[in-house]
Amino acid sequence: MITVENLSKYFSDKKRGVIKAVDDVSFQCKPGEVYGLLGPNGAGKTTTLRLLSTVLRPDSGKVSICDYDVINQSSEVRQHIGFLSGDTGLYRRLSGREILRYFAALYGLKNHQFKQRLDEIVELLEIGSYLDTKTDKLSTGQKQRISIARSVIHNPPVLILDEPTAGLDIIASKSIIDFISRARGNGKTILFSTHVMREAERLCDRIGIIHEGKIKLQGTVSEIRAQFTTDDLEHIFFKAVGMEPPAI
Amino acid sequence: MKLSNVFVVYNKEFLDVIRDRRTLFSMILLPIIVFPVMTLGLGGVIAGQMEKMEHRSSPVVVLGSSNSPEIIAALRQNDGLQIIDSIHDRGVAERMLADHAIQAVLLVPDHFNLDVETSDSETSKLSIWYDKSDAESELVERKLRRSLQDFRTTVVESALLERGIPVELLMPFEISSENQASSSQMAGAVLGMLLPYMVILLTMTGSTYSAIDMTAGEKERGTMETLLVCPASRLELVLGKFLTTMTAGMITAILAVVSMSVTVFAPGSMLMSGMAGEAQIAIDPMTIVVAFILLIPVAALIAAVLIAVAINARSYKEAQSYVYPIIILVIFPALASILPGVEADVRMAFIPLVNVSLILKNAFIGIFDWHLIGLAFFSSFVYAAFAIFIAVRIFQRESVLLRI
Repeated sequence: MITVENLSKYFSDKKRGVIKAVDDVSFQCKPGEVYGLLGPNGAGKTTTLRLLSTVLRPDSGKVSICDYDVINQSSEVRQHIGFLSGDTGLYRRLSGREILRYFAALYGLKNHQFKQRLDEIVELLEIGSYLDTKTDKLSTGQKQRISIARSVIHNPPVLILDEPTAGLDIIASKSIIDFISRARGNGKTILFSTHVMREAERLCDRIGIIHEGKIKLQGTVSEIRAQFTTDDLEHIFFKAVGMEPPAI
Repeated sequence: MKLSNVFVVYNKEFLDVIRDRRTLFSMILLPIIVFPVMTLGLGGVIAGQMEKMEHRSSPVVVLGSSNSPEIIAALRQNDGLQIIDSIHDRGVAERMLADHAIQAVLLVPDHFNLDVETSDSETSKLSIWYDKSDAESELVERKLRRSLQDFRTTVVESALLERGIPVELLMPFEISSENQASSSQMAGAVLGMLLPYMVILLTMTGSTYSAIDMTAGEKERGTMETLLVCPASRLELVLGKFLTTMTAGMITAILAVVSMSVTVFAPGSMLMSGMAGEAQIAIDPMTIVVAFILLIPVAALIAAVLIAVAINARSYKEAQSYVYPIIILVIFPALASILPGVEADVRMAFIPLVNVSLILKNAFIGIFDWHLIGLAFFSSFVYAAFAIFIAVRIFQRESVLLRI
């Protein structure tokens, strides 16, 4: 369960002054639900997800993940989330197994727990054939699967995915989409950011359209469509942020 | 803080480091090969070159050779000089010297006169022109001077004999110097000058790549964020990375000490043959103990500073440009062992790197001041702890970690 209330984060920039990267954002995501933060580059998606994953500290507002507070219980929060982004890298001189063992140890898994969890993940993500290959020898899709395995090695109840398909081809993207669908089926709480409308449409139970740090609109896909008398999410997006949709 | 997390990070980073060819080169190969190459290779080449020059017959033009056939005859006795008396033009001689066709010019003035009673300052003055920027020309100048001095002594002796004065009058007493230092002390003095400097520098080069790879490299590859969202604290992450860097530095330093000792004592080493003859050289085992004790805080200090600096960079390349000035900052204090007149004392014991450099120099000549060794050890650790504290603080800054 993720609860975000009036979350704000400001950055100061020498040229542009104070930037409100996240401005009074509130939303909720329940177990078994996929919440999609939809917005263009620079809208505040990544900053929001970093605030939730405790990498950044909020300036105001309250965030709780599985009833743990991101500021005062950041270590517990980190223990309960799996984080993955599109530009997540891997240690190229290590094999998938070595990377997974490293993160399992950091998440406090005992050796037998790691072995058991690894067996489950290898089967689920079909990574067994290249698990012992150094990751710089793997294809992009294979690397992405190892990254997914890394993010769920401790079997977290909450997944925070920052544009996880960015820069991937359709086959590699498919592995992510399938993974998200399966995780939802297993009752995970999934927060997902994207700027790809179709992905949001297909995967998300609820969507928040974010622009210039603010959530402009949120609800289920059908609720949003009903408000705008159009099925085209792209048109809805432009209207929500106060812009004219493209002519073609 | 969970120590187990520090060791998890340490084990992973060390595995990563020893699989990196660049790190392996600077950590293991460089300290092993640098001393043999320097002393046996380069030293051997220089020694061979010097010997060749010493035995070579070098061309020297004598201008005004007809003014003193005695001098020409005396110089021809020296096999190391090839006397050319067929050139009479100053300009030609000067050009030949400038073109390195000859190594020196001897000018015998007109009316040159060996008789003290009838000559004056002009007619008794010989001039040598040479090129001090050319090592061979400098050597030939010395050969010429030696031959001329020998000839002068002969002239003086025969003049005294003619007047019935005993030659011994010229030498009322003799001066003899005796080197009281044992060959082991002399070897220690040379090692004590070179080794602290080289070891400190190599500790730096050995730890640089791993420090950059684990900080800026991790940001560049996009693995930093995943590390930051795992439950390990920033302190645990920094300590794990710091210990890996320190280990890399220590391995380099230990290999450097071993390689240098083997090289220096190897038969045929120029260092030894030049100064201690064939003597048996033994290093006090306590010297090695002190060297290792002091290398620990040196490696710690260097590792902590490198981590604190490299974490600020966004990429490997940027980190390298930040680290180069640090190499210079390390070289200067490390040079303290080479500077004459700089000695270890209580004040120096508090100056990072200078302290270790000077104390190691003393250790090699058998001086073990435990008070200073203790001060240097603890002060270096305090500096290292401070640098780690700074590194942890930097690791907590959002802008540094996430390139905001």
